[in-house]
Amino acid sequence: MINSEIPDAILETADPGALVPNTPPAIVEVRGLSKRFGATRALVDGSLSVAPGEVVALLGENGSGKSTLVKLLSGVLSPDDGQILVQGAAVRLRSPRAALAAGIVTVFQEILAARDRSVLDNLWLGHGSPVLSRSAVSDRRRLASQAWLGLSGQDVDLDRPLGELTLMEQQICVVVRALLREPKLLVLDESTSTLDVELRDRMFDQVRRRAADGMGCLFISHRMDEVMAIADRFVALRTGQVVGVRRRGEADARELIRLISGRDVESGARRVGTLAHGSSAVRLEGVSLRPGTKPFSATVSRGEIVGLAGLEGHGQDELIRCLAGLQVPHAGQVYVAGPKGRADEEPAAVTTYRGGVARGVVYVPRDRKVEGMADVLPIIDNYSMPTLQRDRFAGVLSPRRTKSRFQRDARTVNFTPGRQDSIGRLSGGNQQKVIIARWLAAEPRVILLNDPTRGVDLKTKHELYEVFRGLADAGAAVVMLSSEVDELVHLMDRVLVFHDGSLSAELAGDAVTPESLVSAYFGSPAVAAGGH
Amino acid sequence: MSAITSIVPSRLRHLVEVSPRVRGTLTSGPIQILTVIAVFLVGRAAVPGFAAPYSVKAMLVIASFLGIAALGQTFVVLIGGIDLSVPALIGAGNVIGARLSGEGMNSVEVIAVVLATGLAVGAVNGFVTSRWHLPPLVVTLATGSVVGGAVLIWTNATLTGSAPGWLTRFTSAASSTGPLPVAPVVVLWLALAVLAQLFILRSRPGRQIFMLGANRQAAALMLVSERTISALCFGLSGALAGLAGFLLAGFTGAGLFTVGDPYLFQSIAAVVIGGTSLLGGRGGVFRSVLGSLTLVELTTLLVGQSLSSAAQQAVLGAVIVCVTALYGRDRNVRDRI
Repeated sequence: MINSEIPDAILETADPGALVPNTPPAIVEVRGLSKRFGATRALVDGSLSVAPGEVVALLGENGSGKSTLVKLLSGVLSPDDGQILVQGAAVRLRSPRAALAAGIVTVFQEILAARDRSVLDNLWLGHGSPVLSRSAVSDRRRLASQAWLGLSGQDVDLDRPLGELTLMEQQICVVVRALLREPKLLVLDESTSTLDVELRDRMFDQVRRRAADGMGCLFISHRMDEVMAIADRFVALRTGQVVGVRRRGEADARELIRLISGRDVESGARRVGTLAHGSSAVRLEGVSLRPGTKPFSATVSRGEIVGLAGLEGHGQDELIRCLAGLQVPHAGQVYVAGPKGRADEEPAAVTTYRGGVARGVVYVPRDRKVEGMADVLPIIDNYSMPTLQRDRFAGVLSPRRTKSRFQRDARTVNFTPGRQDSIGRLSGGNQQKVIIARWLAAEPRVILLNDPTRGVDLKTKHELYEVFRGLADAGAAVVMLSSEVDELVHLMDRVLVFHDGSLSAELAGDAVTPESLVSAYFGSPAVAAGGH
Repeated sequence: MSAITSIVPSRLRHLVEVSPRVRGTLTSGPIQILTVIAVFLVGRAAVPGFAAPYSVKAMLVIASFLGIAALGQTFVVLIGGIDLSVPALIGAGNVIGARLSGEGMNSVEVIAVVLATGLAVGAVNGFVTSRWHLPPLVVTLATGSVVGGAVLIWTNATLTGSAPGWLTRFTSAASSTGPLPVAPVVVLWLALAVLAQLFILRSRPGRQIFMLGANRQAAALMLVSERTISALCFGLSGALAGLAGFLLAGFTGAGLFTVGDPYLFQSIAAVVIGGTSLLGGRGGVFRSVLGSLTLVELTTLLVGQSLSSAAQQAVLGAVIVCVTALYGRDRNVRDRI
């Protein structure tokens, strides 16, 4: 990679050990940046700099503060405290437009584009005057085709509506748009997730070429191989704080993963429980979640709690929805053992949500407010809705029956009904208890929990763990998606880790450690192997 | 109430027992009750003869036509929808009822035809809106237009048929119902309201209506079938609108499609004044009874002030805005206490 034709300054920054004084000021420097949302400290005293020609990788788990930092740099959010300096001068980025004007161009995780407009319109979206002379339009066409060809190695029909392009081409579009703005600092936030290996390498080439001309780049990716391939420097964030800075060559992937996950997280408090030897309740056969992903098989037994983990969007959410019958896997089948009283019956495939419930498969959704409950309605309605038919007497519902059922199931989940009537006034943890109680009434055999402790305080969280453990001990198979490493380590009998839409690792018992989990998140089998 | 419950066998007690929730619904909306009384007092002071027995009886009859249609509209609003086919179905019920009666058809059969027509059109509304996730605003306007067109072709847009004799007595302000000094149509209205209340509180689909209106996505995960409940609510709205139209024939004497026209605005206004949220999930049928009463009192008051129908429209529109704002506050205030 070191080329004698590259100017010295570039060589110095690209080479880890050789940073000398008198380097030009950082393109962008961030000093003591802080941001809080209510009680959550999303970013604490974050400091970071990117020199001309340098590619800096920002590393961290979900919720570590990466996105907050990116939003602060791109003017989407304003900091509570701290400074942003562009080429040595302090700037206030009050809006995304201000950030663009300062030369900070961000490619966000989501593809932000007008799908009904042409590729050309999208490439120049929001750039300069909307009214252009004929020559300016032809200039734009020429520049756009050149940039597109440079990045993708292929021509594109600039007049096609963007929505007709593949997801990968749309991703190219937003990256090309950023490059056309001639950024001083290019921020790539998970911009490689939809690109294939070849295109990704082409993109890296482009980034390096621009870097050689003095551009800085802040690169964010959950993929360790990409990060190792492009970055000159690594900045690791954990719970809103910068926990380590390493130069290329100073740290290997394993070391970086330790930095991200936090080596001080010990697994000493691990539950010593009865490892389940129950009969199998759920069987996955040759399941492939998306076209082209590796098929896998797995089982979940009665009496065990199995965790589903991975970085956001790597397939674990799809899997739990497939188990619930809310979506059908791309290939393969999900089998569930027969309903209560007919346990000897042949397992049947779950293809619909209602069919699943009829077989005792119940689902606690991820987003309580949107999918889990009606917050304006009374607690009792939110509890009884799917099982109301049990309270019918002579065709009329008996509120007294509903109430006595609720008292019984509320006790099981350790919920004490208070004075509040509407569920919207309960704390998040109590809402979750009501939602779980709702499904206890359906005598579940398979309980699917989609990140059930999200937004729940620590005390209630532990109460919920007790409840889940109790359900499993009572013979239910519990499958729980979790985005919290601690929870996975302390609660689960087994953890299935997903990467790129497929099962990447299956960790059991003491092999579930923060390190083994995080390395499996990043699809790094070399480290994951240590956990088996 | 305890006297009643004590004589009922315990197995059947839930049929008559008033749960806290039902009591809550009965007493909910003290503002609505006060509004009915306040407007009445203003009317008595401002319009001579407003509080005379005959005037009150007449207002109750007029309120019952509106009230029956508004009951149906309430179901639709509770699931977060809106039914703009109400005036067309009132017109259709009116014309079909008068015409078939005029041709000598048995009244029971006539009512069955009217109800079936309303139910069918309404069920189509409900199915189409939920199956393809189309806005009810557009769908019901369109089906209303289809129904209206069909009726006009059938009748050549003229006054047609005649109401059976019993219907005229049934809806006459001068009639009484047994010992009660009000017209039978008023009793029918209140009986329907009680049935509707029982339905939304004490039946599974009734409770599902609230869940669907409050949160569509969550309702689906709680095994509420959007299509079934939607078809049910719009179907009930259609049937009740048809019934209101049929009863109106007794009041007007013959069938005319345009009798339904004022009910587009009024059926929705009655629901909103009653305090049922247009966002769905919150409200109740007794509220719409009170809303219908308030609206009829207001209209009578404005007519008594010799306001033109254009001026009435303007005033009623302003009232709706004020009332909606007031009830919005009501909810916040109540929640804080």
